[in-house]
Formats: sequence, C-alpha cells, structure tokens
Amino acid sequence: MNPKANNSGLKWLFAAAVFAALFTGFGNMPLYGRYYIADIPGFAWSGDFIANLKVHLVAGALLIGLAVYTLAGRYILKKGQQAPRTAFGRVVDITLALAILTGLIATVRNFACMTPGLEAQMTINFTHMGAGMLFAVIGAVAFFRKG
Amino acid sequence: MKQPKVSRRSFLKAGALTAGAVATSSLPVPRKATAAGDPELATLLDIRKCIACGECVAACREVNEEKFPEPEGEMPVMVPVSKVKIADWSSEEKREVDDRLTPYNWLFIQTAEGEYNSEAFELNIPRRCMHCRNAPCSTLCPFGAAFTQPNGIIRIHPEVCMGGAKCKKVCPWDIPERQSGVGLHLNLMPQYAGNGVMYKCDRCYNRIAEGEIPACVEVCPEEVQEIGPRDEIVKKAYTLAKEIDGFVYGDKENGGTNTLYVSPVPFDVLNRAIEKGPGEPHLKPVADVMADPNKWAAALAVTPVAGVLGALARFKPLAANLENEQESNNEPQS
Repeated sequence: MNPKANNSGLKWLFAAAVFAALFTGFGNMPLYGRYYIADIPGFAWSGDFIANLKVHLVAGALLIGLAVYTLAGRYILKKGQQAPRTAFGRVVDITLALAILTGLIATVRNFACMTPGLEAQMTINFTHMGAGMLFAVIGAVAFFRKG
Repeated sequence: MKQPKVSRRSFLKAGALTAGAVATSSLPVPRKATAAGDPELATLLDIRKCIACGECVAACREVNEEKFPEPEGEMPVMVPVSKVKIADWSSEEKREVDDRLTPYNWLFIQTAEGEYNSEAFELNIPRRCMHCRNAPCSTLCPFGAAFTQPNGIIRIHPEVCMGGAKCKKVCPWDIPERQSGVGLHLNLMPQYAGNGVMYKCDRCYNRIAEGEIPACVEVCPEEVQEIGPRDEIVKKAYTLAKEIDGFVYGDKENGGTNTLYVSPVPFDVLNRAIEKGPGEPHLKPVADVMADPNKWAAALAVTPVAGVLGALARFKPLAANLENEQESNNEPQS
C-alpha cells in the first residue's frame, strides 16, 4: 500500500484483532482452564467456551473488515500508486486469507446447522487452526524482521 | 473388542474410513428409519409406557460393547494434577454401573415419583444423548472429533477425540463421559494435552447404516421408543401430547433436538422429581446454546460493508491527490 495511506489507528486495530483472534483461537481448545489462564483476574471469560467464541467472532469480524478495506484500497489505488508486495508479504496475506475463509465457513456451518460430516468438519477445523498458527509464526517473523 | 491402538497412520486413516461409514449411513433404511428427502432421524419416547425393565440399557451395552474403551497399562500422571482429574471407569465393578451415564453405559433410566393435579405418578424416563439439531458439542469441538452425520446422529470419533471434555462443558445436559488412559492424546503429549476419550450414545449409527434400528428401540417390550424422519416424529409427538393432554420435551430445547419425550406430567414437575447430578441429566427448559454466538456472528456481515465504505472514503481522494501530484511532477519545469 502507498505510505501515504498508512493509518496508525488501523494498524493498532489490526494488531489488537490479530492478538484477540489468536488468543481466543487457542482458547477454543480446553487449555486456559487447565493451565490457570482463566484464573488470572480479568481472564475468567477465557475459560468459558461460549464467551471465548463471541470474542473470537468479533476479532474475526474486525479482521474481515480490515481485509476488505485493504483489498478495496488496492483496487481503488492504481498500480503505480502502490508499493510492491514482497513474496513474504504475499505468504502472510495467503495464510491470513485462509484462516479468515475457513473461519467464515465454520461460522456459516454453525449458523445454518449444516452437517458436513467428519471428514469435512476435520478439514475445516484443522485448516483453520493450521492457517491461524502459521499466520502467527510468520507474522511474528515479519514483525521482528522489521523491528 | 479391544480399542484399536492409535498410530499416526491410523489417525490419518480415520477420516477416510469414517467418511465411508458416514456415506453408508445415508443408505436407504427400511421400516421406521430414513425417508427419501428427509434423512434427519428423530426418536419419540412415550414415557407413560416405560416400566424400567432395563432391556434397552442391557441391549445398548451389548451391541456397543465393541466400541467401549479398553485402557492398557497405568493411567498417565496428568499435568497439572490439581486441575486434570483422571476418570477411570474401566474396572470390572465400575463397568457394571447402569444407573447413570458412564463411558460404558450410554443409556440409563431415571425415575420420577410425585404428585400432579392431586394424583400420584411414577414415570420412568430413558436418558441418553438428545442428538441436538445444532449440537454445540459438534460445532465447537476444536478437532472435529464430535461431528454430526447427515442423518442428524451426533457422534464422537474415538480415534480423533483428545478427551478435553469441551463437548461435555458446552452440552446443556453434560452428556458425554470421559474415559482416561485411551485415545490419540497418548501418542502426542499424554501428560500435557488431552485426557482420554469422551463417550456417549451414537444412536447405533452402524446398525442404522445396515438398515436396522437402534438396539434400545428394537428390544423394548413396551414399544416406548419409535424412530423415524424428524417431521413425522414431531407430528406424532404433538398429536400424542394432545390426545393425553400431555407435554413434549426435546422439540424446542437447545433450539431443537432429535429426541422427543412425551409425558402426561409437565417436565418441570418431572425435573424436580428426578435425581440429578454427575451422569444424571436434568429435564429443565434449555435455551439454544448456539443462538447467542450466532447473533454475534452478525458482525461478520457488517464489517465488510464498513471496510468498503471506509476504503472509498479514504482511498478515492488519496488516489486523486496522488494522480494530481504525479501530473504536476511530470509537468516540465519552467
């Protein structure tokens, strides 16, 4: 994106959404109750799977909004007006897109009471989990490379 | 039959094998099972008829024995010990328990005695998984081990389940029961993640796949239970309730289940009369567990619109400015 399009407020919002999505994503596994995270004052909600899911949905909604904002921005700005995307940046984009898409599929499944069966359900869940974890790792690498 | 030992290879195979089983589960089934165009199955339990003979419980244990867990060796020492309790029902004595739900007893009979409309009653209620239509155990299992078959049967795959018991925590009736010392987690990080496998009624999915009906339905001498396409079963339940001036439980609970009880006594009265506790589910009204998170999911439809509007407001003028800048840069210096 063009450096003039940078908005530090949106960057912070993105960082907060990523952190919340990853934190609650791990919290979808029965770990926080087991490993005392839910015992930390102010974190009791993280051991409640439904509360955890709600925060995960809000974080996911923010990420989708920001992804749409960025894609629309790239569409509006002409090619010469955008900084070129690096190969590493594209990998980050793909993993985030995969995590968002599989999350959307899972939400639609829940919303519409769909019955995809074991194989499809495992594929959705493990792709979502894998993409989220991969994004966390390469996102962290990108962060420290910049830093 | 012994629980198959789980290796990485068998774990990977599990998906394919079960997909086959799932596919066969939607084969045409005679008599009271699936109907073309409406494969979702439901059961109707007329609890006036139940005499608590226990035939259904015994048949369930017999036909499902091959699916029961067979832990081998010592139970792992879980970390942290204070938080993770071992649940071991595998001793001979504990396996025999049939007055509550356990990993070895997927159906039991509750008894409710009391008075309603100045008349004494004693009713027996076979209890097991309700097979919810939008089952939180199935939708929220992080690994997909709890899943819903196209015919509405909710199952937990023993080779995928890690035994974290999330399914039990999100189940409004706390139905699934854990057996420690078995399952996939033993091959991963046995002490630090997972704790056995969760077990519950699978509505004899394998019998249904072969054109039979669940064992508990088949052996009942009083014909307490009936299984069939959901719309027919719901109609029958309400017709019966009207005939006896009775009540239906399970149609609206948790947004709708595929187990409908019909009783001449209101279920809040029955709920007060039954024993409740671990392995002994209640009969309270249950709100739809997934309704609330699904409302929050509406945010997913709002933010993309906000994203487009924000981008138009931000990038349209920026694109015009950049174009102007470019043009003025391209103009020859005078």
